[in-house]
Amino acid sequence: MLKKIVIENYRSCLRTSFDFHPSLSVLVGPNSSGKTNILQAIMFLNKLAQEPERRPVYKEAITQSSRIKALFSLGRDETQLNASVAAFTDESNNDIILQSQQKWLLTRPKEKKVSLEWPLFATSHLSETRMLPPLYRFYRRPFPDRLYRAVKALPRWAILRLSNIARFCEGMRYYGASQFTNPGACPVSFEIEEEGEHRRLFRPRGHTRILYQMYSAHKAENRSRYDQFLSIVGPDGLRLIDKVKFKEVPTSSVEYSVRVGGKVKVQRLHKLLVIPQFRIGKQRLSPNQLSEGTFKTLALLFYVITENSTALLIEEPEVCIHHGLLSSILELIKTYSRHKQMIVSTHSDYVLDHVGPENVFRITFDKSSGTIARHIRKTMTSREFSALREYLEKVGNLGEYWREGGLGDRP
Amino acid sequence: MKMGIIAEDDSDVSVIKEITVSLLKPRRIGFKHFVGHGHGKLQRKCADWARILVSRGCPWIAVVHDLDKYNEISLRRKLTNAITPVRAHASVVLIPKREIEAWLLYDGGAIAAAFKETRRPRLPGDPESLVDPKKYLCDLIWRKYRKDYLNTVHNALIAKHIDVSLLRRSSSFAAHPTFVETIRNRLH
Repeated sequence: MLKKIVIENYRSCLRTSFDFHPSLSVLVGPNSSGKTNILQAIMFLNKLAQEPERRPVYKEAITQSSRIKALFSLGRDETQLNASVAAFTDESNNDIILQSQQKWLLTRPKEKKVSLEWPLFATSHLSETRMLPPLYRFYRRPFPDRLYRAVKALPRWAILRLSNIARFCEGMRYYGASQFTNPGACPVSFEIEEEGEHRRLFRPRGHTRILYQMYSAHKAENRSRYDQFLSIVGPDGLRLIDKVKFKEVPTSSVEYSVRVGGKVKVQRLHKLLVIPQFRIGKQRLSPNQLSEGTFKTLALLFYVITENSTALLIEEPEVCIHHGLLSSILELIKTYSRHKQMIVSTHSDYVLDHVGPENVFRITFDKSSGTIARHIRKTMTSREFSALREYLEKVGNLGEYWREGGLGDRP
Repeated sequence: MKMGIIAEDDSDVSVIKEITVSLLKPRRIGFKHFVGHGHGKLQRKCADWARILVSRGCPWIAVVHDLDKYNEISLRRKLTNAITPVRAHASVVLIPKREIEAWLLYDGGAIAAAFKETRRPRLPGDPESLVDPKKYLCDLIWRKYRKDYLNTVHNALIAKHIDVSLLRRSSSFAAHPTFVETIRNRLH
């Protein structure tokens, strides 16, 4: 579980410290206060857990040089990560990590503290020391003896802990309201390669990505979570759709390559054209015929219910969604927050009506300090907090209190 | 004519709807509702909502409010006072001890039917004594069927299959059958 994060020098976060709620944290604040930046910075942890893209590092390419301090906890065991990240922001506003340095401090009651400099994505190789020198080339440095000795001396519990953290970070997912706008741009089919049992798609993005993920869940051996998703969005649940079908059409193509000496190699590639179909009543709709609200809701619920994620970062779940449906979605988010950590940013007082004050964090922006994240309890005196409690018991909801100015947002 | 429901959330409304439909069978009735999404708003707006429901053609009003840490007598008095001036044909104030989900824990068969299972879960002797019936129900369903329980979706499904005679053991439910009987008499 992610307990705390300190973000330094990342967009509006000059030095933003954020103590998470163990299950559900809701971020509220005015536009441009830095809510999205906090979520994007948290996603650095996910990116650190993935193998970095091999691309040349030019100093001019680096657009962000940030520091991320994260505290992970499980019971009384705590692990601290101190990471320096050099990233490049591409034209789609995605941060791509070019270089990173990650220092770990692992503590455990009655055990000696362990400190180590190690990339998170390579954690699974910690127990195979012979694999370390080639891996360390990612650092573009020779593998130092000092580190080799440090890794060899790592106790078993520390290796296990780091593996768990790597799994947690790898399992983080991000849902942004802007991700699934304009379903009209969604393709009506997509093509995947057939490689024995393994199916692969080249860099699925946007709408295709969610369709591919749904298709993968549909084809998976253990599809109980996917069935649960279908039952919730289906006629017995939220009545969004009746059925989803994936029609498969095998296709093939021939690829020619000429080797030195002039020999021509012919390779036949077997592919599969996948055509998703959504049934609503008697209609069979392609994904691009779904309304924006339906598409967004399906995507969000798929992430909440089916995805085998460890933490889910949701940006504005309320966009394009009817309030009755939103109420069910929020209940779902609350229910699933017991299994996976949820961090939600919102502008909606209706969302706040569904959560308690213990879940809410106020985000503000100050020119000199940048983005500031504080639990609403810490933005109030104990008298003010008692007044809020009394309001919730006798007068109204948290959303109303916020809308009426009770949480002290700037007008 | 319709029945008006004032409750804390949509899942409470759906439970009351389904149980009322079962009690009224074969007679049928329509429903309109208001939800507070919390105690404070429900208490503040109860009188206005009841008045609006009556003017929208709902002469029967049911108010559902969890007891939690409130005093039952004063809460009942407060809610009854709020809806009395609207001159409904009949009204009822239902106060489940913790949450309405406790009612759903009286019938294992309904839970099994809602999840399309044949095995019935073992239920607690006195569901109303549970501190968190929603969590209990959620854990029970996960343990028994390895399925996720979601109140907004499954409460209505469980309530639809519930055997109302089993619910009569619940003290907080006791007033509802009498209230529905009044509706039945007026519908004849």
